[in-house]
Amino acid sequence: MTEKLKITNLYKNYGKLSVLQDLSLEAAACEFVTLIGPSGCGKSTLFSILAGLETADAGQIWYDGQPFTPQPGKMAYMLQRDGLMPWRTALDNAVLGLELAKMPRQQAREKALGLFEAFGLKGFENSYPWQLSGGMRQRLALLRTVLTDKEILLLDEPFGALDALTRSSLQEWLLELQEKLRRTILFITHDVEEALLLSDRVYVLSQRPANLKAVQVVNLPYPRQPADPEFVRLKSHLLEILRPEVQNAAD
Amino acid sequence: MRQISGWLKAYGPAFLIIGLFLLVWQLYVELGSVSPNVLPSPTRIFSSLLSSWEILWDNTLQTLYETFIGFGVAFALGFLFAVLLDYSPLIKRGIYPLLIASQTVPLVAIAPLLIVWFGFDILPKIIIVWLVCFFPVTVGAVDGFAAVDPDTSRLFQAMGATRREIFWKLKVPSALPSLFSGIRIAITYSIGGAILGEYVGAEKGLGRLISLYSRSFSRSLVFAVVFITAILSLLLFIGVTLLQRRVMPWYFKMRGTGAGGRGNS
Repeated sequence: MTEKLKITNLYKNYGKLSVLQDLSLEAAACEFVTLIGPSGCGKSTLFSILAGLETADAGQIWYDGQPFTPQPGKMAYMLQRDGLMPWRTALDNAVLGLELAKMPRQQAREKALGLFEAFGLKGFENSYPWQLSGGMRQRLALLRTVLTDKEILLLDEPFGALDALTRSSLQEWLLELQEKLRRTILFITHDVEEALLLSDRVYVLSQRPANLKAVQVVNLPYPRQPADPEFVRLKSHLLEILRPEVQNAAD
Repeated sequence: MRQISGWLKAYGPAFLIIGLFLLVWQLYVELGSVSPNVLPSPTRIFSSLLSSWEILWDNTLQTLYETFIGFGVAFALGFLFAVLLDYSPLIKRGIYPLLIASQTVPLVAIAPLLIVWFGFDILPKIIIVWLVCFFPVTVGAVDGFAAVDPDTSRLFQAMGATRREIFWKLKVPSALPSLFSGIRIAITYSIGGAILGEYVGAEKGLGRLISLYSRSFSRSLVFAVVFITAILSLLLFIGVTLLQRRVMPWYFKMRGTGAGGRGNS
């Protein structure tokens, strides 16, 4: 299996504060990879670097086997807060990335409209974000992210601010969507169950400075059942690895 | 029909209170036998207004002209200045306190000086209007630019947006609510600024009429000018509000639905 994205020995410091330390990880094409770790461990910094917003101090990044210097506009990036603009309709929010990539307006709108149904937003094209529910806003933010046709999606706790029910329905929906989209997804969460429900591979990161604690490949068939014995075993296993990290972080 | 009843609900109380106020005023002057040289009655003011209509209108146009130019300059410079302050935190820290301090200088002290420096022409009036309007417009814009959602800004950057795109597509729309608050304050004070400038020394304008009528003890005409001033300020305020509804209809809908806050989270 060829690696879509490979990161080796990445370091990042803010002054004297070391945030990433010798971090290595990889993601195959169309793989759903989750990064899990204590809050504030530096996961988001990694995404900032990959999105081209910050530069690493040391380390290598490989894209399709080629050395790669991250630049804005190469990977699709989605933050926990949806960042939807209240003065734009759902449709106009969705096309933002295409607009910035200089796609003609009409073409961008048609492309976006084609996906509104799959994202459960049909009929809300001309609604404003503040007229949408939390789950719909997040789906719209993901639509905006997906629409730019980047092969790699960086999703930074996209469901973190949602209530449990909405969250669980969006998780199922995201899996169905990924069946069709077939993108390489890097997904940040600090919810072990979410990681196990969604991903092919889970990277467990230590507290800051973030380095790799463990890798867990999840070979369970979809849709996964949290009550499944193997699921329960993996969950307690990951929690076991995470526990000292979370405790140290709290000290 | 629904629109009319909506307007009645919104503005009816204000008209009712103004009507009551005028009625009490009229009765007080007539029943209390107050001399019209001390306080003219509303009907007397109104008849002076009608009889001197032409000269009042002519001078009103002059004042409006000065107001618009002064406000226009203040808006353009205030906006540019706000961009500069937003661009450089250092300049902002250095200049912002000066800007606030400048607002404590009484204009009545400055106005005569401006006449001395720039003569009786239109320029000193424009400067005074500018002085009045510059501050609210600048503060409105600066606060507006500062209100940009940092996550949305990151998103723009990650999508490869240029500084210019971030400015026009994100910062300016984000700043509009605050900018319009500043503009509403500025436009309401602007007429008063122009009148102050004219009062100190001018050949034409409502301020000059006030000075002229005061000295010739034409009290009812002074009040007529005051009445015109109030109406003008109100109309300008309404004009700005209507413009804002055109420029950012989403903002009024959002507030109308009570979909709280800046709707940005």
